[in-house]
Amino acid sequence: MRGTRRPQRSSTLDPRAAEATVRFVRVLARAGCAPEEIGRAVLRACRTIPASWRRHARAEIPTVDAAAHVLTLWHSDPEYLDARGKPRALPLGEKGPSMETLLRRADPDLRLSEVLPHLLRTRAVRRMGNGRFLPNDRALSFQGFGEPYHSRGVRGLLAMLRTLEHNSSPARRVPKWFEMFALNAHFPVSARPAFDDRIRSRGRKFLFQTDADMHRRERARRKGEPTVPLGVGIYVFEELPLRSRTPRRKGGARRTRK
Amino acid sequence: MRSTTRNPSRKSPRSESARLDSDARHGVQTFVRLLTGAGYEARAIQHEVIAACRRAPTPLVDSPDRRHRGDAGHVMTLWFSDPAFLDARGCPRALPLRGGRLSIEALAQRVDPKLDAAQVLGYFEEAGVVKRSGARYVPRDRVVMLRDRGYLKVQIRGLLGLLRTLEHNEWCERETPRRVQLWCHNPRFPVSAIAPFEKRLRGMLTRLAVQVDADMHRCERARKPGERTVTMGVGVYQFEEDPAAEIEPVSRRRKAGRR
Repeated sequence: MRGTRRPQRSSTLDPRAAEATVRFVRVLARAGCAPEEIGRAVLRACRTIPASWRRHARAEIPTVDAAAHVLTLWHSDPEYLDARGKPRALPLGEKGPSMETLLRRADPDLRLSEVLPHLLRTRAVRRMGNGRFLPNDRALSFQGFGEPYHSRGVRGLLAMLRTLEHNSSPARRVPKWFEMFALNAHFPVSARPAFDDRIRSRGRKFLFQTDADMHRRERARRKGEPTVPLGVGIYVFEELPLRSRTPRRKGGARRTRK
Repeated sequence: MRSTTRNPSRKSPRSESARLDSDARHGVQTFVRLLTGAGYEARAIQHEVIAACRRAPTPLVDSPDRRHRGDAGHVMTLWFSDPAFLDARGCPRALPLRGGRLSIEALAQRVDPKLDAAQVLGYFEEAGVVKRSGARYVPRDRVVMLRDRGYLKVQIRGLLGLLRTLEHNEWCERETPRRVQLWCHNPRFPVSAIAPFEKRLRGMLTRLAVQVDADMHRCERARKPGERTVTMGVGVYQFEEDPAAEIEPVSRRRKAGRR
């Protein structure tokens, strides 16, 4: 391979991936799978990974998180809303409300140059003729934006693994976290597109409300009060046999956030 | 204290139930693909898995296999939505365990002829979603909550479903529609507000799940004879993250005080 700037690829797992791995193994083991069988299955799975996958970068999760939280603030903080309650067009960085101040509220440790590209690339935000910025959507969607965002999948998976492990704790006093799925074994294939649209619409509405609710609690917190990152996820799945053993890498990842 | 007396059978972890079934194998494959697709080295994943396997709990091979009881949840869906099983006010009728067209047995047969009505009832009783009224049973709740650790085998179905969705969305053809996967997250949620928030969330998510379940059931009922079907699921979950896990490589972050 030519080129001197190799994309970031770690020879060790970062804390998030390591945690996901440990939890995945523990959840399978608790569900009755022998650890040595899990180990063997992983070795086999690793052997099937195409060599072409060994060269792509992953997006930094804090910058993507901050981009999503910028959208939350922009749609809910009175300072960033106009008289009709719509997000105001913001300059890059001036006195008063701006993209800079918005990002500082979301994550003071990050630079705008690290976060703004995610918002522009995913078309969550557009630049207007007068140089100001305006959001297109409250949600951040990574559909079709490819490899840099694949690490979002690990994030979503880790969240679910944490919940399963938490809920399988033998401690009775520990309040369980909500986790539920509805299944239908005879769902007609022809009804799937319309059903997907309904779920997407309901899910977005529900998550926007929840997001606003969480943000209100965040704003109302006392100074120095302990906080914790909290979230809610919704997903649709199908139980079908694999059509192909080797997944194609065409098309991009889609992550919808908010 | 109830789950600590399982040691005798831990000596035989390679028994039938300890082997990976096809779902678990697929889950492992997807997990590895996700991590490698996200930029992690396969060798690093192997090392981490081997280390995790050494530390992993011995499988609960003596725990009853409750995987297939997930389908019993659909019995409750029918009980709450099939007109034949509803009274004049639209409430689920009280049903005997067996006999005739209106019984728990008849409901279970509709879901899966292999489901045993007594097992289904036991499952409902364990979850506390039915009450007995003479020789009949009345449902108390449409949602069956699984609290016993042994039900991880059922709950893992949701995890494997999420893995399938992540895999589909990352590697499907460009023109193939992505599956719905949405989430919201707040990085600074005050700990003192968690309990009331969870209470509200639980109510809203339960309503959402019941609506989704009813929607899927309507689609099932409206299908044409012989039409191709799939097993479709919709999962909802709440999660908390460890604030310490938010720490990423220092080189990418600004040092404190620079701003």
